Amino acid sequence: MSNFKGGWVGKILRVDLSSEKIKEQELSKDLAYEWIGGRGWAIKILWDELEPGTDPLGPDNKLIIATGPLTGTIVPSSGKVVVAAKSPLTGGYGDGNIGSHLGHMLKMSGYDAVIIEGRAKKPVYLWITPNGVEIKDASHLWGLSTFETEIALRRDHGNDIGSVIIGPAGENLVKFSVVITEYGRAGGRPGIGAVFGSKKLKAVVAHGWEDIPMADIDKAFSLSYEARRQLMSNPGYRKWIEQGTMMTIEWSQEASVLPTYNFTEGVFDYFMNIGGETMANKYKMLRKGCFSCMMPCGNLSVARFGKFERTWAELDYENVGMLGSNIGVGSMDEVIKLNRLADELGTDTISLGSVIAFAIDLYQRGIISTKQTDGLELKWGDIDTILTLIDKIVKREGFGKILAEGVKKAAERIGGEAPKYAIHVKGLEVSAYDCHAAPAMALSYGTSPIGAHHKDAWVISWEVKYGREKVDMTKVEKVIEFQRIRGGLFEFLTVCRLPWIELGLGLDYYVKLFNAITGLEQSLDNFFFIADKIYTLIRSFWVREFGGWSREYDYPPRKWFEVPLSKGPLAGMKLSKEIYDRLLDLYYDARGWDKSGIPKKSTLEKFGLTDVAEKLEKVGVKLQD
Amino acid sequence: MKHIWVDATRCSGCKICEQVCAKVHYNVQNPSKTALKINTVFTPEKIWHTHNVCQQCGPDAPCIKSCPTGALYWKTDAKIPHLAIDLDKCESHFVCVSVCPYNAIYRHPALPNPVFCDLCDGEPQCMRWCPMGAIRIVD
Repeated sequence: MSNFKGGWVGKILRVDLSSEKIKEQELSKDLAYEWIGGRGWAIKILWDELEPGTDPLGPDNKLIIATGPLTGTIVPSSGKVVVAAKSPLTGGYGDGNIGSHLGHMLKMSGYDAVIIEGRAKKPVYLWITPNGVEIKDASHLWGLSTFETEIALRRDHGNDIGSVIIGPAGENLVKFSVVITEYGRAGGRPGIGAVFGSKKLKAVVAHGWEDIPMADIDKAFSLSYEARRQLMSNPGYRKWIEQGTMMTIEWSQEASVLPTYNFTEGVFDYFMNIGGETMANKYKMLRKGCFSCMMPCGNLSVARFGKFERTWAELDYENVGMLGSNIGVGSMDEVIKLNRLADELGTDTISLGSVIAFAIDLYQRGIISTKQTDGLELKWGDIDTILTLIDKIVKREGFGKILAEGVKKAAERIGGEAPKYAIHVKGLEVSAYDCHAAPAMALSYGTSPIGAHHKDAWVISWEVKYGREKVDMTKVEKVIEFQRIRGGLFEFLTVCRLPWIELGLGLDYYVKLFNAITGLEQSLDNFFFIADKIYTLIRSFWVREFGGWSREYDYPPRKWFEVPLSKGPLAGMKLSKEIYDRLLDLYYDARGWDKSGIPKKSTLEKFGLTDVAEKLEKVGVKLQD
Repeated sequence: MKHIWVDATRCSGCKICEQVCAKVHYNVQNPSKTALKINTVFTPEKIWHTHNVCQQCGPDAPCIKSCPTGALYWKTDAKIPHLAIDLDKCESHFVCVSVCPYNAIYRHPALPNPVFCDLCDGEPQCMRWCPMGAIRIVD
């Protein structure tokens, strides 16, 4: 019997693809209570088991697929899993969470998490059921798109499965490839798809039917029903169901933060064409939700006009911003085609949009010419050239080979002025919020533990209301608060944050649900403590990999400091380095890190991470007291 | 006869109904023990949510007629008449599963008896929970 009354099922699966050994290990109480699940386990396992300097695409890197105690239960929007590894894109810690039906299938097969090591000799996929785990031949799937693979897997294993799959991009080790499930759900922005590809692992598929233990099942269901009522009585619920995150396009335009022409502007002339309103009225075909979700945000939309007619894809704000306004595409039909292509090939839509925009930006500014671009004339919104470019990137041909490394490395290769126009932090491309005039959001990108991503601290809408120009401790506190909740709580409970952030479901529900499901007594403060501990360990991981740290690694892209906006209500604005530095100092201070962003010894001790301090000192990192 | 129907244009495939069904009938967190199965079907051209659930054929239903032990019967003393099972009589032959023309009676690997919809005795809980309002009782 399991160690736990509920929530956790109590076993971790360890698969070594090199030796084809499959082991089950017990989930220790320590790991469960101290690190909860999801991101907490991912960083703990990666810190403990990876040698510093491990090649992210070598057999020694480890792939973690982790659920949390609330995953796959009646808790609102509990269909998430965390996929993590050392990132080939950034060289630091990388993770992503993906909404799917894999979480509950894994737990109903009897596993809380899967650790995948080694490298298979030929393409394989992992088939997990309560009757056993098999490493199966995937030669017939290798080279197929994620959609074709999903169809093939469902033909073989029935329709009731959960999966994560890589496409040709992951196979070809494109550095920003992701895992895809269920036709268009993606996760693992920092190149987790490439880690799959390097291990010759095409997919992880699970089908389970065992009960997930619950300490107090009646209470869990009645709390969820209450939460459901609260969510659905929110005045914004209806609009959310119609548009989901797509309504952010209109908001971003109004707030002048919509990424446009490689983050040159914050407003886009054709925003209406790619907005939430247009999608809901003209393009949306069906709602698609993850497991246990009461507010499905999968806007399945179908192209209606032009040569891409009848193509469909799942649309979200980030994807539409980055593969729309950011590359100058102002037609929903074309945006749908681009999203569909990215999902089929298994590349991250955000990073793909960013590298394309980067290339066009350089070409338009005369930094590169047709000589470097294999004769392609790169123009904003020129869909045919963009499609050719995507093909080159995924096949790693010519100019595409440079871009497949992500904007940071591509800029280093091209040299000259190029790094000024590479929009990334720590190598991860910035997601769809322009921060020329949003220092707190810039700080949140700068300090996000995987590189520039909005998942941790999405403070932009708060900041616009609070006052962009203000520079004070409140902003830093807000960034940390959001990181605790979004990057901590929701990542280690491994449920979706949208019920809380979008429709105001109280955090106390998650604490009560956690207590009802696990039979433990936890408080929100304790959760925040664990969240801070996770952040400190992730930072320590980066510091160990980089052999130290410099605050420049936490800087937002140079373009925001150096090239002001030229259009819209905020024309002329740019980020001030002085202000950013001030915020960064306050941030480090509040986190208990020193002036260069390294956790202090006392901070590590506070979180019981004395062994971490020792290991850091061993690799030559000087820790302040 | 009255039975459950899922409006595919509203359904999002979240499987809350499946979880609730298993909770009501078996008191477990396990969507696979459900009588209402939601299937999200993918083709390259289309995504569609389909469902399988007992159509409540009535007293002459193939499952009732073919049950070798007479365990399945038509329950009339309920808010809505529905298919029911006498667990004392069921000997787990699962003939009902193979004769159901709608593939709406299931055999679960961990349960001794067939799983099917009994309309929660007239108050379907899946219908109460469905956030999309996709589940209805139709005749």
